[in-house]
Amino acid sequence: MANGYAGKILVVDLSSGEISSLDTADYAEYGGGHGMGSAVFFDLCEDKTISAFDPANVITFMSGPIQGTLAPFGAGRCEVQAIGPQPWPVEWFTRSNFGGRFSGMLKFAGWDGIAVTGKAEKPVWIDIRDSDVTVRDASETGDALWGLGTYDAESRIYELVRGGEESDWTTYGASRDSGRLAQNPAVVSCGQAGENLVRYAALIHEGGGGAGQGGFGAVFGSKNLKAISVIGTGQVAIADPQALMEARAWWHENYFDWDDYKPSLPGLHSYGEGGGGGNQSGGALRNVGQRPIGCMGCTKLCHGGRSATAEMPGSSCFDTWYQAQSGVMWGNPAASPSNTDLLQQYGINAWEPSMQLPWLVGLYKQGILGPGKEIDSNLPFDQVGSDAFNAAFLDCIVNGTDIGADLKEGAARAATKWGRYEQDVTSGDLAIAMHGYAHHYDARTEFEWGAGSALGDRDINEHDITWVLYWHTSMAPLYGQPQALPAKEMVEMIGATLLPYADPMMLDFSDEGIYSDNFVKFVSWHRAYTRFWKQSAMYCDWGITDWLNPWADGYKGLTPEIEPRFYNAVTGSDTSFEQGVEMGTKIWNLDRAIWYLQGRKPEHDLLAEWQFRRQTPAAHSTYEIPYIMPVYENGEWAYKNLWGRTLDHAKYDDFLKRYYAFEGWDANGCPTAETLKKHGLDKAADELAAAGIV
Amino acid sequence: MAMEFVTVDAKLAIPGVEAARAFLQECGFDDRLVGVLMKASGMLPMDLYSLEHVLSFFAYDNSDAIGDEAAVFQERRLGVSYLAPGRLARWISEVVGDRELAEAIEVEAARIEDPHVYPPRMRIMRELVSARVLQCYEVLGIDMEAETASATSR
Ligand code: SF4
Repeated sequence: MANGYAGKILVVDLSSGEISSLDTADYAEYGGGHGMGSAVFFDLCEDKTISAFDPANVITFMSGPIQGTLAPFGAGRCEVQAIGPQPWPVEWFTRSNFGGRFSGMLKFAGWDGIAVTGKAEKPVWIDIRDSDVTVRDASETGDALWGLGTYDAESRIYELVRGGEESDWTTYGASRDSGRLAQNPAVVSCGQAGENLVRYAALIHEGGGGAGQGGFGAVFGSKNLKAISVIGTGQVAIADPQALMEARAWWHENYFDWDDYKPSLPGLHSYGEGGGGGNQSGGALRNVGQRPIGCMGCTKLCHGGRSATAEMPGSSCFDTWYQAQSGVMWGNPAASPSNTDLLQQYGINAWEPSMQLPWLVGLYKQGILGPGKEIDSNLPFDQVGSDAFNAAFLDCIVNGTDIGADLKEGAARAATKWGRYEQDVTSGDLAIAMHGYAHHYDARTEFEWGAGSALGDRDINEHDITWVLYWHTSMAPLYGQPQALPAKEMVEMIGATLLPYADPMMLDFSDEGIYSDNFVKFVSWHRAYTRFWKQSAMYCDWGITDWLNPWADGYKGLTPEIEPRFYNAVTGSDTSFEQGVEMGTKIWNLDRAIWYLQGRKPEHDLLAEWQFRRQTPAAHSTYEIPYIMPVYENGEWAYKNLWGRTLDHAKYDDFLKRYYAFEGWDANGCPTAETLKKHGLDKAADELAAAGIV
Repeated sequence: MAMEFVTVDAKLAIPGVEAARAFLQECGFDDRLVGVLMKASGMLPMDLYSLEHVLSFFAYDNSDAIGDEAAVFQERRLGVSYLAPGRLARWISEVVGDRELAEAIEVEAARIEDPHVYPPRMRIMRELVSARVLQCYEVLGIDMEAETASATSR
């Protein structure tokens, strides 16, 4: 039946060399992406207590029905999951997601996903050409990929797969008509950081695409796996092509007006609009000489090309921030592009060095770190911000030299070893927010971000509520503009989409509101919504949720209509938005069960201490930036600047208790057997029972 | 855009050699200033140890370009280097020891009527700090171009 699925999930055991497959139909109840990945991991990884570097760890790359189709923001997204070496203090089963072409190409090759287990005896790479799957030698005596940077490895694989025929098509299969393509394969690879087991090593796909958080590059390294390459000559079978085309036309008509650039606030872009919109209407990129770069099928093309010199091809977002961190603070903004390229070639998750650097400089300034100091280092900290420093800093991490021997384990583990964790994370000088991950959006103000991250495995990195209820609302006054909508209208408009609850009170960010039962409900809804629609159906986080749309009457965006509309056209199902949220709850519970099998305890749901203390700490450091969000106070809705708020331990603990109860979890936060069975997760309930956990 | 930009009126007296040297000094860890680079994708607190760092920090702000015809691309990459003028002025006065610059920032920033609007205030802070740093370079005989070239090739 045509339903968007390719029908098979590839399984590669690198220890035995065995190549097999699973039937996608056995996992279709999870939708795709993250849900399927969790379920496949659950089945294939028998002992969930193993370490990330254990050969039995299973890393999955999951596509889903809408990948490789015309569903906007969905064609190229790929969910990656495994036990990750980055989370701290426990290496949680974790996730990341990247765009580009990999996921769509996987579908064209006839696969809904890949699961890799085992460890190869020597460096290898996986070469997928439609149904032909080969594990190939990546060592010096083979295809010589080991030791290369990610961009270089990718280029080499293009040559290997295409036989050097870059200007012509390549034929795949035995006959001329079995499949011809002029495209390069889609490649995901680790760099030297992954090979050398840097715990925050990323997987990189093309310029700037990558699974950063989690340390999956190091999982590749631990398996002696350099890269996976896929080229597909097939297609995705759609249940209702007419409905899909109509959905695309509807979206085109309503999401963005290509002829009328209209930011949601004067001077600010809307959620969904981006460089692609600008590019296609001929304005922005033409004027600044940038190339549009983005993921398969996406019109937003948000990756951009940063410079005309071809540096940082496709890098955008946080991967370019490391250079800002080093450049801004130490007077060398021009040092940037090559530093980002170095980061991408090595395959390093930019968040970690961006968090490490100011902390290390602080230790240096305090006389704690340096030559012959308590933390002995010969890195040229007197030249921080220079290209020379950046190269030395990243080299030491990748090669495990100097303080890099500790830093490659991540800041949390390094700080613990150096005896500094408690002091520096309490003061906030080391800005770890939860699970060893860097501060991103502010848990003290955007509590759904903080609590959602703490209850999971990583910084959630979901820019939906934050976009409309922090960024826009904070930027408007900063630009002397009125808010798009008064607070009451805004929360009512968005609240109506929080199905099945449809309760605007869930969006009360006041000091009392964030600990309320309404907010418990909101955190629960948010975990479920994103788990399914963003991470399993896999609409890109930067494309949807469409909550505030300047081209629509009264700013009313396309959520909650857009999510099921494309999904149903492709799958032929009749899944409602609420059913998607319900599936998200099921997947969230499955993840939570896996974490309990790994040894989860309530203390792992806490946020780092500085978020309970740091308001305006020593000297002149502060987080006094406008943080304007909706609050319900004295019987009415208003926008309020929440800067300077700290969290309260007793209230946070009480919030957790009520959250556990709301989800149907026990007092320790573990899903009960009854809850798991209610969601059809009997296997998880049985495994927890067998382990004596529930 | 409804934003009101003002021309900076304040003229800073040329500092003496010693003062210029003091103004360019890096401060210690406990005296550092923290600015926050605000972007749609997240926020990055930045430790700033000197007036030159403050200038580099402001170099990443493109908020005052918003509204320009060709700035759609930048809008997508909007970066606001946020420092409250009062806080910067206090740090300049107490840590850098440059009361004149601190006062100029406060006076000029107060000329913007809307108490929340930021880009014109950022521009005022950037212009005044930049003017002071350039004065110090001149007084100390520091070649600005060489300084920039070495910064990029360091
Ligand atoms: S919005 Fe950007 S990251 Fe998302 S799918 Fe489009 S190009 Fe890719």
